[in-house]
Amino acid sequence: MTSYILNRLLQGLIAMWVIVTIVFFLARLGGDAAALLAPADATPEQVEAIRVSYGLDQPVYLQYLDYLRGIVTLDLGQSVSYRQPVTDLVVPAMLNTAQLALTGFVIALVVGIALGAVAGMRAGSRYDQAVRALSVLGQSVPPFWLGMLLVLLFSITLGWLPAFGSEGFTSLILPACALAAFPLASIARLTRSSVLEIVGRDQTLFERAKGVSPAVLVAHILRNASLPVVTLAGIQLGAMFSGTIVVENLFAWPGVGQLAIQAIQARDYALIQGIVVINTLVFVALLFLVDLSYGWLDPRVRTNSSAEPQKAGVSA
Amino acid sequence: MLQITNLTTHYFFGGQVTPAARGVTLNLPKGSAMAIVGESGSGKSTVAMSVMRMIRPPIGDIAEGEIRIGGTDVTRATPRQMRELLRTQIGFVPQDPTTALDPLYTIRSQIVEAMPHVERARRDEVIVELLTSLGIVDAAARLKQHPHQFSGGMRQRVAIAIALAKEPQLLIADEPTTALDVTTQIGILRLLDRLRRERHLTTMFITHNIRVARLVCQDVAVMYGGVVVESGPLTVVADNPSHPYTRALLDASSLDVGPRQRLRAISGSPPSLTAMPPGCPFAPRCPSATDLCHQRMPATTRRPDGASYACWNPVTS
Amino acid sequence: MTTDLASTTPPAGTPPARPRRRSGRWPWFSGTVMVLFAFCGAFGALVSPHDPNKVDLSQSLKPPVFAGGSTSYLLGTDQLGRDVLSRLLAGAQVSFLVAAGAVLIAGAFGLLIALLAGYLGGRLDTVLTRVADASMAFPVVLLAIVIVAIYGKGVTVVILVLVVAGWPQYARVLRSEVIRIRHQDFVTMARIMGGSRFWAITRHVVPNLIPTLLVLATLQVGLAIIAEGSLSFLGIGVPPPAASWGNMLADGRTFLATAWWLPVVPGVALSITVLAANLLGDWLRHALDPATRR
Repeated sequence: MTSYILNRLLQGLIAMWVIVTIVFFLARLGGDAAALLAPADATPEQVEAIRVSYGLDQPVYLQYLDYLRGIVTLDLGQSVSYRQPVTDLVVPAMLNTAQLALTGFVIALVVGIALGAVAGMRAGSRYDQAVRALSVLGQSVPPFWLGMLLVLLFSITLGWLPAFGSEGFTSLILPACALAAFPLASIARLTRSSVLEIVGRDQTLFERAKGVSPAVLVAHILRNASLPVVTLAGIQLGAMFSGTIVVENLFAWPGVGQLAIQAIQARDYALIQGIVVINTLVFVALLFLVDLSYGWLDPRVRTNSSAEPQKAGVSA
Repeated sequence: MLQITNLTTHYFFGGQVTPAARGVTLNLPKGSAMAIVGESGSGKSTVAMSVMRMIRPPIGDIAEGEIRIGGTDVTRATPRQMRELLRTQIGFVPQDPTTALDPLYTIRSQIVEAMPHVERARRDEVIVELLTSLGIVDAAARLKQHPHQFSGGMRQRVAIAIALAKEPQLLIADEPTTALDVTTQIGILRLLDRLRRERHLTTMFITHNIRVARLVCQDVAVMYGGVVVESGPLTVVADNPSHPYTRALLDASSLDVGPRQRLRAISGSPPSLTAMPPGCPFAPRCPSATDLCHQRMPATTRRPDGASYACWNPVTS
Repeated sequence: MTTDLASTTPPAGTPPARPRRRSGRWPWFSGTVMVLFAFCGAFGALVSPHDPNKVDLSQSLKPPVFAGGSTSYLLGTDQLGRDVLSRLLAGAQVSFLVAAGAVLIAGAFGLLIALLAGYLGGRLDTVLTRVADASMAFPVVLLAIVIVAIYGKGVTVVILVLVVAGWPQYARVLRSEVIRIRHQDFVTMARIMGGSRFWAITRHVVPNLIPTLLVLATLQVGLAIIAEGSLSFLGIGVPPPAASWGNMLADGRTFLATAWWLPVVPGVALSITVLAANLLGDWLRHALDPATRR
């Protein structure tokens, strides 16, 4: 197990390094970084001053090393528009985003697995048909549009929940639900087909022949069916980050998404870079956790660290 | 111990009712071992699955008949009673242990599930003893291992341990050696035979190979097209078959075929479950079939030596 | 739940009792919607009743005809008096362009990578697979933010974002298909008979990838439309005043309480189109996959 963890940790770090490097060179490919950093009406002298103050007159490899050192020490430079260290801006926003994203993720995971599992065990029933219809529908409605519909219904028409803001638990409900719908539908769909497959396997027949209680049987089926679902959940986490940015914008939730949009409008390049770097860090960490839970679930992966985890197919 | 009377089991495919076993009557006294022999699609597995009540709607159902295990009629048992019966009375040895064992659980936890009656503190001790008696070396160290860390033959021994952990009265083995290497097959068969004698197990042994059956069983029932065509003491039936199908089956698995000799295969293929002829199911392939065979199902005839057969024109030796 | 579990699989050799799929039937709903979408995307401007960008403040916020509006503005007007139907058609054009562009380019690129990785294998395969995995996991909107920050906004940039985000899907699925196909006997035979590697790929491998590619592409159409909507909604997609479904939703969000049709109409159009693409993709998957076809 230890070698498995180390292996995955190393892979996570490499992935992190690759993404961070791509971001760095993409920015350099995009033309004169100093011109990007400067306000639109800056004089050539001002641009030159910015170039020197950001070290952009240095050779590229020195800039790159400087950039990597900044990431390791979490010193991501100064935001031009806020006149504050980038880290001080991004970290609190990240915590808000994480609150929203994780709430949505937990809803998607719990409800999606529950719906999909029961549908898979009752394949062909009315209930199953309803879940399948719902999951196709859920994969067709983008989060920002669903969010608007929820606001229209629960805030404007019924007046039950606040339409925006970040005050307390009630203001979390609508954005979290809007965010959860898409991954929920994907997870429900994959869980259903996965459970259906496991129920039909010899191992389920053999388990039932032991005369075990329904609870034990369901535990066996769910654990086996969860393997592709865990992989999908990892991929969905990435999609959740995209969804969060949009949903935050809609519900005026003070997270990274809001910050990113403001950064783009203000052409605050250091801030954008900082957001991407911290997002990547969080994201790689979450994927590492997914890998760990995979290893915890499937002993075959643990004892043979070269074995690839089962990948979710297109059906996701 | 196990009495099956006039069992008819249906599958439901695409809205159609398909009989997979028809009027099967078998009697396994306590401690006896009966082989159920037939090709795939003959209904032999359907009988075994019916005994364990594994065929339920929407997949299929027992339409008629009685299955008595001890005092209980399986066909009338509630799901709870059935689980109780499976937990205490019936041990099941699967065809392919690789797909039957759950890859995610340790073998210890998989065996423990099948022995709820043993108190917690003694479980490991009992399991080690059981595994050792089944020929697993260093069992104590292997309890925490997972199925993929065992070889095919060892996996089948683990599966047998699960079947025996509940100390059952009845053992149902569904082609327990077909998925194994030839060299490990004999070991498993000898093991099953030894266990049956030591533990007075009533054994139902499903196989397609009548010669394999000889190593474990005294009785045989030959099935074809969902019907028992011939049954009785194995040696009697094997040496002196009455039904042309049994004859053909013995010829096909005959060992005294030399090089350059034609293998005696049965021409044609088994009837489809969905299009069963009204008469004897073997009639379309039978060398001695008459018009009567095609039209009417033959009744069962008892022979003086204890065997019985269902055929209009039995083989005379 | 408990009694249902007590059912079993039939023994080997018998078909599993699955609910019968109506896969043989042509999917009328999704087929019609997709044809309509393609038509509006190509010729929407010709049937457009008004100029989608014509501002007429005297006609602002007229409700659609089914909510008591007049027939001259079938789906009502927005806060600037622009005709919603005309803008919807213009938006269809943008969505169609983005979806078609993204799917074609990402599909072609993904196919190329899949052939390289799957056919040549070895270290190249490992590297390409890792890169695809990493890019697939990377959030699309975050990627868009980086790219827009560098290159600015525009339809081409949206397509670029979707290509960068979309190719790994094709590459991963097609790669495993390539590996499966190249080990099949007919490809081996073609090689033994003296066919070149290039010939084997173009003649035998690629045609067998077409069904999978088609299914993937159809499913990606839906994702591309959602992504365009999201980016435009955030103001980093198609730059206004050009009509796109995402822009219409972004403009309409402030009128949720007062002029509900402004956010609802483009949202319904978008969701129905995506739903149709998803259903069509599912249908194609079952219709083209010999394993699930009966």
